[in-house]
Amino acid sequence: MARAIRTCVDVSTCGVLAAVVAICGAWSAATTRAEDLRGIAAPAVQAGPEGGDRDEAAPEDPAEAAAWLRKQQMRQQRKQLEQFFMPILWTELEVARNTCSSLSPEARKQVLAAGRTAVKNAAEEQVAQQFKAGVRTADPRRMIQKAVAAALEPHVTAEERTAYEATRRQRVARRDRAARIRIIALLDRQLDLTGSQRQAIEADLEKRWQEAWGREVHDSGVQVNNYPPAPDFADPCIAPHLNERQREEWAAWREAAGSQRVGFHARGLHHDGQGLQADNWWGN
Amino acid sequence: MMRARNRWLEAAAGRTAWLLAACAVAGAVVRADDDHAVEAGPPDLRAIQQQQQEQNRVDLGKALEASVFEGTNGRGGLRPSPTGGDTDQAAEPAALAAARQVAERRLARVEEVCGLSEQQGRKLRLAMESDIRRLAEELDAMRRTYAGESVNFSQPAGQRKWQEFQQDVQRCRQRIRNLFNADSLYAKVLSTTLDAAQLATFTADMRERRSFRWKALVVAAMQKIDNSLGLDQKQYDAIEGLLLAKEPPLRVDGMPSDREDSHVQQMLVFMMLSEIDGAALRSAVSPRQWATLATLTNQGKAMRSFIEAQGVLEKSAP
Repeated sequence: MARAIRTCVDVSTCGVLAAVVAICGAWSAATTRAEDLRGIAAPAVQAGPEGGDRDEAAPEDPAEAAAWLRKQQMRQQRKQLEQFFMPILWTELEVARNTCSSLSPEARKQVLAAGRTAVKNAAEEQVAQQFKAGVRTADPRRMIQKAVAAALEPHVTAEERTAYEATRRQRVARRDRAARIRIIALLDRQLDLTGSQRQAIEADLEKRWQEAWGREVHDSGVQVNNYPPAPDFADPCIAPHLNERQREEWAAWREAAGSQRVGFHARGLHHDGQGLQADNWWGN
Repeated sequence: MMRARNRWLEAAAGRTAWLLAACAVAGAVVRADDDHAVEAGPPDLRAIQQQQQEQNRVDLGKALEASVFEGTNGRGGLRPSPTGGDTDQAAEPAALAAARQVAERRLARVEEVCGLSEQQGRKLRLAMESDIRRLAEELDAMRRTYAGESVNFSQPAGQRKWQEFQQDVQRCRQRIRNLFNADSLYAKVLSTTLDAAQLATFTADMRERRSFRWKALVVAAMQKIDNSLGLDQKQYDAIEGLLLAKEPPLRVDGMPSDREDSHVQQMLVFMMLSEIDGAALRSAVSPRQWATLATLTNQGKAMRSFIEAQGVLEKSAP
């Protein structure tokens, strides 16, 4: 009898323990989530576009809590974008290293620091634009390029400066050429251009090229009304070289999906894939 | 002794009562929503199981219609429908309507590039129509195979059947893509219908077009490589030159539903990059740049079967 009762007690104890463990687990998980949130808020960061260096725990007031959450999201986004933009910096530094090899270790450190600051600023600006409605105009690559170039300026020889500037110009020229070829490829796919038409349009595009066009061309696979966005901004370089059939099709395409007409801007972030590894030549 | 034993038993009974009560409370706490179904009795359980089985059941006939026949017109329907007032076309599946569009595009292209007599145009149109009808018959046979068929994912046999179905879907898509390939009636008739001068002009145009498409893909991929590696002009020219010389048999007259997929295009370039002599490529860049470039070539190499399955390459160039 006593043994039976004791067994019953043992089984019951197990059930109670299991229930207690389950309840404690749930409580502990809830506590951990709260602590996680506090953990996010804890690290000190630079003042962001919304201001504030350090956040306290989530406020009780719903409006304040929404603002607090928004600030957390911006901070997290900024950190992710900094990681995203670092390969751009290493590419820019590679160009600098290949053309300005006489840099002293101290100068390299300064250039690297300036580059890192530019990465942070680019991320901050990008996040600010993402969280505020409107056209995105920030160009992270350009921001980082400008910062590296400015940091190099006082430390390089005249020959190095010339070589560096020439390399930069060549890179811009390559980007513009790629954009022109992309426009013609788009037109060719939609309108079936002949070889002479491709050449004529390319020549015209090159002659009247505007810097902003390079940023409008994209390969993201976006479709507008079942068409890829039409490069209607370059219409004066295109329309005169089309035949009657193509002109009709070009008009229909522009009407349905013209970049300017529908207000499409291909100014999102473009990931160029795996970049260069960090280079110790620049210091830590 | 007995009194002590009784006290222990009383205490144990008290503890047991408390623990049983606690268990009951805990049991109530840990009861889940799905327990109701179990408590409701076997008939409801069977209904739920049947419902779950129905959820895992897929109608293969409908799935075939959706995945093969009803492709969207990615080009926005720029080309007019074929003339001739064929009333059957209004009811035909989107895939066949798209095939007719491709046929019209091809024909218009031949006409624009080398000019066609009325008789030549008629012969080519007839050959294309014959290819399309043969395709329609093959697709109809596939439709009949799966009409009214369904599979149950929760059963191994159903999963096997689904895999077979997916392979058939791929075959159908490939068949549609390859409609006017070198082994089609159209391709054979084209080579015998055009005179020598026309054929030379047309072949040169196709080559030029293919080369331009390849150049466009190379330049787009090179921009990404350039942005990643920070190339100088000499390095850029060297890699671009090697890639341009490695032109694959790109499909230039695809189906209208074949949207441009920049990822596939980029991977195609990386695949061709992996086929370039490694020493030549390596000598064009610095060791640091090579570490990254080698990763890209490895990516391209690994994507070969995927790229080939996308239908971006012709089986053999005309």
